[in-house]
Amino acid sequence: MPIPSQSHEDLRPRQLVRDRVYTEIRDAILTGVLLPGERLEEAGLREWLGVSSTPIRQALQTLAVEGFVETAPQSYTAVTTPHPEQARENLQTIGVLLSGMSILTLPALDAGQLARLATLAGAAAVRNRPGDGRTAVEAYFGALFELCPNTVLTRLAMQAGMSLAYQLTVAHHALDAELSGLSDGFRALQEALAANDVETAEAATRRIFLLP
Amino acid sequence: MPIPPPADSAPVRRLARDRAYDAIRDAILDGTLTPGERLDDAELQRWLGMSKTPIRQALQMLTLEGFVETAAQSYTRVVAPAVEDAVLHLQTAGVLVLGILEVVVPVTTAEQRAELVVLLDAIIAALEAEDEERSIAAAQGYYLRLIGLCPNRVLIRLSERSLAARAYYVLVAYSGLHLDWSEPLAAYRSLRDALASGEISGVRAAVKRLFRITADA
Repeated sequence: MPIPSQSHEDLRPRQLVRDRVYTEIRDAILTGVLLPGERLEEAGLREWLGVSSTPIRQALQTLAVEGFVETAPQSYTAVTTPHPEQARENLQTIGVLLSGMSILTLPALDAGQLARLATLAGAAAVRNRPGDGRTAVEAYFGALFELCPNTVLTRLAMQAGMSLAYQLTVAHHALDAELSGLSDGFRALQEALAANDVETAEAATRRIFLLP
Repeated sequence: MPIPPPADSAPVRRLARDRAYDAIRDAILDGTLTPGERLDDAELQRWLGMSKTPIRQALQMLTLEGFVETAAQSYTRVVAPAVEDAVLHLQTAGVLVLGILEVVVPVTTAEQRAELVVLLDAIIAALEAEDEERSIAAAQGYYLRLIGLCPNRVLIRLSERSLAARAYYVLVAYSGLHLDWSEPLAAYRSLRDALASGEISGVRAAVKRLFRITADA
């Protein structure tokens, strides 16, 4: 396991050690510093992060619940290897959370907010492949996240969505054929939002995530 | 904190943290541990007869799910549901249930839908009788069967880890209040009819009504 270089980001003052450790390991996975299938040895993590075993184990447990790492009892912990055959299920599950968020958010927005989302959806129609890195798709749904009034749902979507999106990014080729319709989906979303038609926007969101 | 009776003897080879998780979760669900109650490390160790580590792991899991809340360097306690936040949990559960129905309805046979209708009828009968306990038990039967029909394993896992804590929150927050039974009753009746005919738009509308999934709730 290579030891990632020390990160220099400012940490919030009162952040718990285990939260910092969690964020560091998660970001190393998201940025590809730690690769799918890579073993996570406690000694290596201790050396890299400069902390004791306890916060490392706590962080790994959270990451395991979220699906970033896999553990075998009495055995090893490794970065999750995304299964291509699960790509569709991952995509649909993200879609369940985000279409729910759309239903709770869009009807209460004013014309200006809908127009802004329409612009972001238009950008996502152009640049939307899971391999594209930080894409316009994230910008659209990020804006939706901020507008969503239900904090319980956004917390759940953050908790689950990041790991699902990561696994999808790694294994998206399994869906290449089906994702060819993505641009059409986002264009339909853009048009519905621009026309203040939230029901059609919800249906377009479901279609983007291959929900029936 | 009253000490619950000893947990059942565990099956072989289960991890200590899983046994601790089950025991604490069951104690929360059956009311042995009450909403807002402090969870003391030493007392939990004595009750469960295990060391600090598996208990901390179990509490971390329960915190992620939303059964337990912790404040840094301060307390760990059973979540204390607040009436004003209950609708957020209700809606979140509804979003998952709606998603499950979206993927289940198109792939179920008429027989499977008929089976769900029977389970929904049991909920409706309990609500008509204003029998809260029976309606909760009937709802459990229906939602378990629904999850069992779901072909998407990722969605199943997410629901299993989220729905129970959302339901606990809502039930505790609303318990003791005199709720209007007619609204859920009407929503379950229209859900039943839509499901019987396999009509997804009706299912969608009924679930939104049941879980108050609207932007102005």
